[in-house]
Amino acid sequence: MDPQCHDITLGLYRVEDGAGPAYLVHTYSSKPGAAARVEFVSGAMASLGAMIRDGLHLRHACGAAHHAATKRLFLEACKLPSGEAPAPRPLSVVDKKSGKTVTVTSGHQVDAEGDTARAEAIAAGLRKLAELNAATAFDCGHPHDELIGLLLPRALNVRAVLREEEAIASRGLLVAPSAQK
Amino acid sequence: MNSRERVLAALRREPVDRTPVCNPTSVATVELMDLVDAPFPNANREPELMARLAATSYTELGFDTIMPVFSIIQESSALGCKIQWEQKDNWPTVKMREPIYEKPEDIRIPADFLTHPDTRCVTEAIGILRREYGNEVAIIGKTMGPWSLGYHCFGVEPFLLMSLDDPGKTKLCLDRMKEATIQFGLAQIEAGADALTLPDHATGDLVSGEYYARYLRDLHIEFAERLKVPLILHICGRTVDRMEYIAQTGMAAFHYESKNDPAESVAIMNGRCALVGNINNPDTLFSKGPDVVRAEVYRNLDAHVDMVGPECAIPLQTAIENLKEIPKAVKDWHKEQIH
Amino acid sequence: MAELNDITNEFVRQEIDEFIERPEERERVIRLFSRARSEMQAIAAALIDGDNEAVDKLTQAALAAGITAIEIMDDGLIGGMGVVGIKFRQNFIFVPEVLACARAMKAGMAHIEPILSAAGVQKIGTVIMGTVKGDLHDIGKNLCIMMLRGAGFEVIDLGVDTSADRFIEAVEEHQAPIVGMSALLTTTMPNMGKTIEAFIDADLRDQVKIMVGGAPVTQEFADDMGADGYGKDALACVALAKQLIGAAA
Repeated sequence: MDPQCHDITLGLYRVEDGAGPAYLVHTYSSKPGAAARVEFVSGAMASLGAMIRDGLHLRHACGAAHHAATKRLFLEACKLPSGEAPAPRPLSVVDKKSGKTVTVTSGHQVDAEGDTARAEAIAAGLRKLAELNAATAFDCGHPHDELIGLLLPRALNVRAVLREEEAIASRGLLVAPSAQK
Repeated sequence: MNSRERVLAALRREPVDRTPVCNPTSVATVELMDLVDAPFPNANREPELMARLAATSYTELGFDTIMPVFSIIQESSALGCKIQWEQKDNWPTVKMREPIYEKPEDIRIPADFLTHPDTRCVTEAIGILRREYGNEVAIIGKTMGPWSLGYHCFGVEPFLLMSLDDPGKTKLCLDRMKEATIQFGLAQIEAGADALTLPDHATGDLVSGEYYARYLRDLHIEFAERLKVPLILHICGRTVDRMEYIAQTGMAAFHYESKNDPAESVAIMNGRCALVGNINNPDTLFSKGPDVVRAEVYRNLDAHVDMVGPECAIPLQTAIENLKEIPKAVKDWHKEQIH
Repeated sequence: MAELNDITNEFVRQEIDEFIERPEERERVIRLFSRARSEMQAIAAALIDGDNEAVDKLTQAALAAGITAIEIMDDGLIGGMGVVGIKFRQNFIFVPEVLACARAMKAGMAHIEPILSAAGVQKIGTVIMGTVKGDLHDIGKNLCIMMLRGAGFEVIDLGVDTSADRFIEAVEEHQAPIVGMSALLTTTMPNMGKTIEAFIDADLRDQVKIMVGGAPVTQEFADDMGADGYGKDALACVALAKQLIGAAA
C-alpha cells in the first residue's frame, strides 16, 4: 500500500517477454495520479538499480532475473516520494555491531577494517539476500554494484546467517582423538 | 454445469463436472480493492462496494462462488459491540476488551438487528449480487455461530472461563445468542443467498473436541434444520479431533484449515459432510508463488476433497496471481485425470 | 536420583505420572517437587487444578509461616505452571483450563509481587510484548507475559493492536533488548513482517532481538519475516527469551 499516492496498491510482476525475464510495476487502481506513481517507481528502480527500461518493462542489463534483489529494489523505490530524485547507495556503511566501516570493493570483496569474521558474515548476508554465488558474485558475471549498495545495509543483519554463525560457535570443534589432551 | 450448479451439487455431495473452487470466507485483497475502487473499510459498510468487491472472486479470480461478507463483525456490530473499522489494509475487528454482556440476562437481540446498517449492508449486497449475476454463480452469505458471538460479546477470556466455571450458564448464553445466528441467516436466505457459511470458532487452538460435542454439536444440528440452505461450517485451526462430531450435525460442508491433512480429513468425514479448503494462507498464498499453490491444490484433489479454496479469509496483501492459480490448477488436474 | 514417590502430595504425583511423558521433563519436575516442602506442593497442586481461591489462601498461609516469597513463587506457583504448560503443549488441556490456572497464579502473585518489588529483586532483562496491528487477541500474549514475569523478566505490555511505531517507541524508551510480537489471525500475521521492516528502517534492528508467536505462526513464517525466534507456546517463549538474552535457561 502506497501512502505516497492515495494508499493505492503497487505490485511488482515478473514477466517473460521475447527478450527474457523482465519486471512490470503495476497497479490495479485507476485513481488520479496512480499511473504517474507507477511511472515514478519504475523510473526510480531504473535509477537505483541500473535497470533498463524497455517500454513498460524493466530488465537487468545482464538479462538475468535476480529476483530477490529486484524485489528489494522495488520496495526501496516504493518508499520514495514522487519527485524525489533517487540517490545511488554507497558501497560502504558503518556497522554498529563491530563499530567498523564496511566497504564492498569491486569484485565484491567485503572489508570490515580488518575484522575478517565480521566481513565474512556480511558477505554471507549479501549472498543470501541477493542470491549470490559462493564467490559473493552474481552468476551472470555482471557486478551490479547498484544492487549491492542497496542491499549492503541489510546484509549487516541477516538473521539466518547470524543464527548459523551462533550455531557454529556453539557446536565447538571436532578434534581427532590423537590430538586431544 | 455453471458455477452455481457445480457448487450446489458439491454441497449436496452429488456428481460434478469438475471440483468447484470456493472460498466460504473472504478473498478480498488490496489489489482487488484497487481494481474495482472498493476499499476497506467502506467495502464492509456500503452494499454497492461490498457487492462490487465480492464479485471479483468470480469475475477476476475465476472462483465458482461470491462471498460478500468479508469480515466477522457485521452482526456483532448490530448487537451493540464496538468496532474498530481500521483502514484499507487491515480487517475491521470487534473491540472484545469492551464486552457488552456479562450474564445470560444481558443477551437481547435488538429490535433493529436486521435493519442495523451493518447487517442490512450484507442483505442488500446479496440482493445486488443476485440481481447482477442471476443463477450463474453461487452466492454465499455468512452468519456467525453463537460461540464466536460469545467471544465478541463477552470477551474471549471471560467467555472461555465461564465455559469452565459454569457450563449451564454458558449453554443458556449460547441458546440465547443462537437467535442472532438464525435471524441473520434467514434474512440472507430471503435476500438470495444460495448457501451460508457458519463460522463458530471452537478451534483446536483454544478448546478441545469434547468441548465442541458438549456445547455446539446440538446447536449446529438445530441450525442445519432451521436454516434451509446448505450450511458450510467454518472452524479454524486443527479440527480433526472434532470432525466426527461435525459429520453428525447435518452441515452440508466443513471449511477446514491446512493444519489438517486432506486425506485424513476426508477419511473421517467419509461422505457424510463435504470438505472445502485447505490451501494454506500465511506460508503459501501470502508468501510463496503459484507453483506451491498448485501443489497444495493437487494434494486436496488427490485426496478427493469436495471443494477447493483458501483455508480461511486470505491476508489482504495476497497476490492475485496466487489466487488465480487455484482455479487454473483445478482445471489442469481434471484434464490430467481424463488423459 | 529423585523418585516420583519422594513427592508427598498425591495430586502432584498423579499429575506427573499421568501427563508428563518426556523423560528429561519428568526427571526435572520430579526433582523440583521432591525437594519442595509440602506447602509448596500444595500450592502447585491447587494451581494445576485451577483453584484460585485455594492458591490465594495457601499463598497467604505460607507467607505467614515465614516461607520466602521467592520460594513460593519458584517452587509453588512457577513449578505448578510448568506442569500446566506441559499439559497444554501435549493437548491434555486447552485454553479455558490454562486460563483458570493463570487466574490461580495471579491470585498467588498478588501477594508475592509487592514483596518482590519492595525487595528490589534484579530483573534478568526487559521484554516489550504486544499483539500486532489490527489484531485484538491477547490470551496467548498474556500467558507469555505472565510466564516471562514469573521467570524474572521485566515485561512492558503494549496490549493489542500495536503499531510498529509503538513497538519502536517502547524499545527506545525502555532500552529493551527483546521484542515479542503475537498474532492470532492469518490475516494479521503479515503485520509482523511490517513491524520488523519498520525496525530496519528506524536503524534499530541491530539493537533488538525479535521473537514471534501465535496460533497460526510457524518457524518457517518467522524466518520469512526475519524474526530472531519463534515460540510455539508460553513455555517456549520463556526459553526463547532466555536464550535471546543470553541468560542461562
